[in-house]
Formats: sequence, structure tokens, C-alpha cells
Amino acid sequence: MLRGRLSVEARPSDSSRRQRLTTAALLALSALLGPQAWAAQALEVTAMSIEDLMNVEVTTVSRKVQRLNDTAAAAFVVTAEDIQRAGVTSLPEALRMVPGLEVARISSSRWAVTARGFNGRFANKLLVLVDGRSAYSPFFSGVFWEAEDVLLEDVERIEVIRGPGATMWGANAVNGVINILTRHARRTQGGLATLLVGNEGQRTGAVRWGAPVHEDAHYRIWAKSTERDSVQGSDGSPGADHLRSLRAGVRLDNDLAGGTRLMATANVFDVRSGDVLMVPQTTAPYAVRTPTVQSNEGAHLLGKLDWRLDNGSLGTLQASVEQTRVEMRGVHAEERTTLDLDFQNRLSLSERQELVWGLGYRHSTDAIQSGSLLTLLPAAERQSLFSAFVHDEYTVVPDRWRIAAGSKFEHNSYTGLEVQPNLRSAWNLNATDSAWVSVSRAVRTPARVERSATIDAAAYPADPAGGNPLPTLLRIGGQPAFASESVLSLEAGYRTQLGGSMLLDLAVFQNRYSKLRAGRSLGATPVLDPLPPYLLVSGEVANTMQARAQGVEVALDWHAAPTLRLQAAYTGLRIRAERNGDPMHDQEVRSAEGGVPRHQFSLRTAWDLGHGHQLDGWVRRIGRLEALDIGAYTTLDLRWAWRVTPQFELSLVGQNLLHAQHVEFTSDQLPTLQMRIPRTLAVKGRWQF
Amino acid sequence: MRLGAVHAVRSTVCRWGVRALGAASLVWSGMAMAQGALTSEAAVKAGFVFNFGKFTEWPPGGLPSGQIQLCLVGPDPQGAVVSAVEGRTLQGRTVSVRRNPRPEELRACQILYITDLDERRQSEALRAVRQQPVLTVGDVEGFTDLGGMIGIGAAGGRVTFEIHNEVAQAAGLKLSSQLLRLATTVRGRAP
Repeated sequence: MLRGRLSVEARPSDSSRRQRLTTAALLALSALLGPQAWAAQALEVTAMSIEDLMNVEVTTVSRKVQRLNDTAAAAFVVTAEDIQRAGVTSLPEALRMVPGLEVARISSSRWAVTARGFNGRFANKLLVLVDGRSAYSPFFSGVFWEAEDVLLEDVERIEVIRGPGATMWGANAVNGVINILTRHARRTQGGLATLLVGNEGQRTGAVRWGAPVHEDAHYRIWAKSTERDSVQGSDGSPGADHLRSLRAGVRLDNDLAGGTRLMATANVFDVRSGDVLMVPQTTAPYAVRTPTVQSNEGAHLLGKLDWRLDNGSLGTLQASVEQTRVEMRGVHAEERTTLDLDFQNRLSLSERQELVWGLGYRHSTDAIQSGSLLTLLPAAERQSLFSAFVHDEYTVVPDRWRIAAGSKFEHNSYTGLEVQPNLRSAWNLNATDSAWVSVSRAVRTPARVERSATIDAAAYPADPAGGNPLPTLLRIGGQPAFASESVLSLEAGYRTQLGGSMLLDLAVFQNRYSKLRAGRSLGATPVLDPLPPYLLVSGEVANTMQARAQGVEVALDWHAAPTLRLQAAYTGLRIRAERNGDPMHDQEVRSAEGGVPRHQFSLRTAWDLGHGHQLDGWVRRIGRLEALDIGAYTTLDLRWAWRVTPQFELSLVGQNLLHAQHVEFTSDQLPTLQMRIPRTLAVKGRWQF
Repeated sequence: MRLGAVHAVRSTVCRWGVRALGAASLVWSGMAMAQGALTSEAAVKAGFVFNFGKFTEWPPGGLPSGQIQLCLVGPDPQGAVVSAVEGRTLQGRTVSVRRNPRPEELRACQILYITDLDERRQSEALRAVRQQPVLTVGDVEGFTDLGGMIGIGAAGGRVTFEIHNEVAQAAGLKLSSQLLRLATTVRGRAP
């Protein structure tokens, strides 16, 4: 799906703003340096020689500053440099640096990633787009992170917008949007090869080649293989969570006359990953260790055309088609074909008013084979989604005060029409400070499993002393009337540039969720045939939970010295939901309240040692997960890199260095063995040719 | 919303606010130095642009008499570029800065300086002056990949630049050997 820029990009400012900025800057400077210092600095540069200028020490201001300052939302950008210097090997690891996100590694192959709470293997309130393609699975309503990967060297940036981004981006962007953007093909010309080898069976190799078709058209073609061995379960038993991933892709960019641009991408992937399922049964041992393999295979094709219309407005048309097959042995197999069409038009109605509107259509067909653990009816389904949005931005006081209002209107096969409005306002207080507020509503539409699946969740032995002479099987079913979850969100933010080298970005929010998914007990029936007998306790999903969330997110980016950069992030989050006495409901309340850390802290340092050496460090403190009984942990990653020649870089990366192993999360939805995440060391070589 | 919740939010926000303020005051001391650094980065880069103009030879008739127009596409924080070069004398002509001209007006520029982060606007501006005697300088990553002549960057606390000489030659511009010597990388070096 494609979206507007949500003002993440800096826009050219006019001369009055410049004058105002100059005045403000002069005032600020005169307070600090005295007016002579400013005047002298401005005068000198044209009189200096290039050699002299090359010796002036400068502190580079983050490019992010410009991109973010105009955004009336809680936004964060992970740059290509951030990814490289953090030494990360997968997308979820890169997202750990973003304030407001909760990222936990479940196992070698699985991840739980969310924004502002409600984490899980299929966290359902976060929309993820890779070069405009939605990675959100309508089956589980979540992202298969093990199957979403790119060549990390090709990532231009990852834009993360927390909070309801529904106006522009559509349903399921309840708590945030992650927009992963890869580089224009012209920027990845020539060859690249990387090889990473480490303990725990880490073996990642990638190759890419980019070349011009003609002066204005470029392509790149790439392939990547990733492997990682299983780790240990928290009970010390061996896991089955290995990862074997193979993917390849091609991207073509063609710039045509008059600002028209054509982009096309095609990708194929084949990912095998494993789990140890704890399959419930009504005889001892009640949970049977069942190693299983999940395969994700598929291909997608996307084309995007943007052009400048005669009236100066910008048009964008995007079409994509995707075919995937996900099979979890013993659970289910899903085949899905999705077609997506989007149109967007951005036009200036006047000097002060910019309007963006768009139309979208998505059609998805599936065919599901049920396994022993999960039963799905109907076995095949077609879903279509029509959407329209309009977003208007009005400048009340030029360069000072902007307001924006808009809404998305979506019609889906499950719940019909969904309206998701949004109102925002942003103020530039002075040259360095800006503030914004926003109120918005967003919905999360039902997933296929919530409407039509039945799952055996757990089994317990007989407890005659507790008045239960029979073993118990817990079975939870989907509900055909399951409706959308919704949120009403109030947000505010403040950004300030402390000096030229430090950016402080603060966001606070208060969310009120209604109709969240929880369980409802339907009663118990003894099952006498077949023998041995057991007690079947049934439940169904229901929109019964109301919750409130409050949070604060702080990002600090400081170029402390020309060769040293520090980036810190803090996330505080508190969720409160209402109990109703039904054990199935209250279990969900406990997960919502205690399934994410109350406090998270991250500090990254990037230090240029000179002569092509870099030393980078990353400390994270993650608070405890009460509901999962997982303790708080502190961890350290270190990276040392040496640019041996301009074409070759060698790096050593150590992750989770403070402990031999620790638990970060327990997989949800399917009963799964909890895994320990070990310390890892790896060496990586990167050649450009 | 119940009163208790309001109170809780307020007190939490207050606590966080105090923490944030504490953090801010810790680094306050480093601010004066940093504020100076910001000014100098944009200004130093403007100084580079001015110097590039000095060391470029335009084809006959490529420079109008009296005035050199420097067109700036993108933001100019604190007006550093304008304050640095407006009205200075370059190749015997007065420099005048023009902010964010329309693409069709770009051919009238002699120097095009791009600070805009939007790749579409970067390539649109470059396309508008392709093979025209306009010196293109960009303070953006990978500017020479995009078909620009001189890309400015910063490495290890110093401003550096790279040159795509082939593009300059195709436009009829001759960059001095001194400039080529000082560049970190030169693509399409003259034979």
C-alpha cells in the first residue's frame, strides 16, 4: 500500500521563514557567543581557501533533524548508518533502537515486535511496509518477521511513526507504522558481497549487482542466504527454532522526463524455521513436545509510478501482486494471493493549503488446510477492501502554525465501513523548538483466525483434590461476529535542538482502547467418548476488553564530538485493562498489562577511532514482563570495524555480551516452548566492487 | 475519564518531565560550543561552494556579465548560505542567491546548490540543468551517484567532497586541477 509522506520530509521554506530563522538564530547566538562571533563566522568563509576550510572542524548535525522537525507525529528514522553501525543482522534487531517500540527475540527465528504495547508473535496493532508492500498477514493479523528480510546494505532508511497512522496508511496501523525503504537502484550500482560467520551457526551471505540500463534507468539484482542454529529451551532441552532463509530480488528505477518516476521490484523467498510446539493432549504428559517446521515461500511483484500532473500536483499509482504459502507442519497450511491497487494525489490548493487524497483496492483469496492443532472453517475465503482517504493540511500562520485534518474510509468484507479520522496541529515555536498535538481514531480489523479458527490451547491433568476428577482440555474458538478493535488516541510531542549538535524528541500519549480481543468462557462439558474421558472447557474470542495506555518516549541524539555520537532512547509504558471475573478474559487482561516492559532504555555510541576504525557500543535495559514471568535484563552489543581498503571492510560483532543466555519472550497464540537467547559473536566481511 | 486516571497521567507526565529536564540541564554546558558548531557547518559548506565557483572555468558565454546566480534548492537553516555568499565577488561578478526556484528557472543559474533531502527534487533539479553550463553542488549523500558534479559530505569532523568530472566535462565546465587534487574521490578523471 502506498502512502503520503506524512510530512516526514523537509520541505523547502520560503524567504520569510529564512529571515525569521536568521533573526532567531542571531538572537540565540548573540546570547551565547556575542554578536561579533556570528558576524565574523559568516564573513570569513568566502575569504578562506579550500585547504583552510578543509581543516575547520565541524560537528555534523543529524540529517534526521531536518526530516523530523516538520512532522506532527511521534516519528523516528533509522538510517542506513544506524543499521550498519549497530551491527544488526535482521530487521527486528534494527527496530530495537526505536523509542516506543517493544522488540523481543522469541527464538533463533521468531520475533515479537510491537509499538506501544500488546506484544506477541503476531502483534496485531502495527502495520509494516517494505518498499510500499504491506507485510501484514490478514491470516494471523501480524507480521512473520522470520520471513521479512532485505539486504540490509540496501536499506535507505526505516521510518517509524508511532501512534495511529490510520488516516494515511489504513486499518491496522493502530499503534504505529513501520516503513522500510530501500535505496533507489542508482544508488546501489556496482557489486557488493557480504559474508558473516559466527557462533550459534550464524552464516549469512549476500551478493548484489547494480548497473545502468541507460542514463536514466538503473537496476540491481541481489540474493541473500541466512542460517542460524536452534538454541536451548528454558527447561534446558534442545530447541528446533533454526532458521534457513533464501531470498532474491530485483529493483528497477526509471526516471522519465518531467519528474516522472517508475519503480518496480520483484522478490522471491523460501524460509524454513522451526518451533517446539507443546501440543495439548488429555493423557499424560498433557503437553507433548512436538518439533515442527514452518515454511514461508512466495513471490511478490510491485510497480509504482509517480508523476507531476499539469496543475503541478503529484500523482502516484501503485500496483502489486503477491503469492505466498505458509505451512506450519501439524498446524495449518495457508495459500494466499493478494492484489493491491493504490492511487494518491497531492495538490496545493493555495499557498497555505495542501490536500492529499487517495483510493485503494485490495483483493485477497486464501485456501487453508487445517492440521490437528488448528481447525479453520471455511477452508477458502475471498476478502476485498475498498478504501479512500483525504488529508488536508492548512498553514494558519506561515512557518509557525499548521493544522491538518483527515480521515480514512475503508470497507472490508468482515466489518463493513470503518471511519478513521485524525486531527493534528504543529507549531514551530522558534528556530529550534517545535511542538505538536494530535487526536485520532483507528481500528484493527479482525484476522481470519479470529473469525473462523478453533485451537486446542492447553490441557491439564485431573485434580481430584480440587474437585475435578477428569483431565481438562481448553479449546478456544473464533467468533464469526468478532468485530474491529478500536483506539482513541491523544498524543503530544516536543522537539528541541539543544545547540547544533543535540536533538531531543519527546512524545507522550494516552490511548483508550475499546472492544479489544479477549476470551469468553462458554462452559465445560465432559467428553466420555472416546475413552479416556476428559472435561472440555470451551471458550471463544470476544470484543470484551477495554484498556487504557499511557506512555512517554524520549529520543536523544547527540554529536558529542566530531568523532563521537551518542543516541539514547527511553520508553515508559503503562497499560491498564478492566477485569470482569471470567478467567479467560482476565488472562488476556494480565497479558495486556504485563506483557510489555514498563521501562526500556537504550544507549548507542558510535565512535570513529581514525584510520578507518570504528568502535560502536549499545547497551539496553529492558524491564520485566510480569505476565510472562520474564525478568528484567541488561545487555550489551559491541562492534569493531576496520575499513581495510576503500572497498573492503572487516567487522567483529558481539551481541548479548553480558550474559551467556537470557529469555526475552514466550511465544503466544500457539503453545510453544520458551527459548533462551544466547550470547553471539560474529565476524563479517564486506566487499564493494 | 475518571479523576484517578487524570491524576495518574498528570503525575507520571510531571515525573517524566522532570527527568527530561534533568537530562537536558546535564548537557546544557556543552550547548554553547555546539551552537557555534552548527553555524560553522552550514557556513563552512557555503564557503566550499563559493570556492568551487572560484576554481571552475565556464565555457565562453557561460557566465553572464555582472552577476552570478547561485540557486539554492532546499533548506538553508539559519540562513547560513545566504549570509555567507550573497553580494560577494566571484570571478569579477556579484553573487546573488536565489532560493528554491522552479525547475524551469534553473537553467538561468550558474551554480546550483542542493540541500534538499528529497531524492525526487534532487534528481528533478539535476535533470533540469543536464548538459547545461551549471555547476551542481550537493550537500546530500551520494550526490555524484545521482549525476551531480560535486558532492559535499563530512567525515571525521572535517568537510570533504567528491567530484564526478565526467558530468562536469559534459556540461562544458572545467574544474581546476587543484580542486581535483583535494577531492576525496574523483570519478571520470580527465585523461
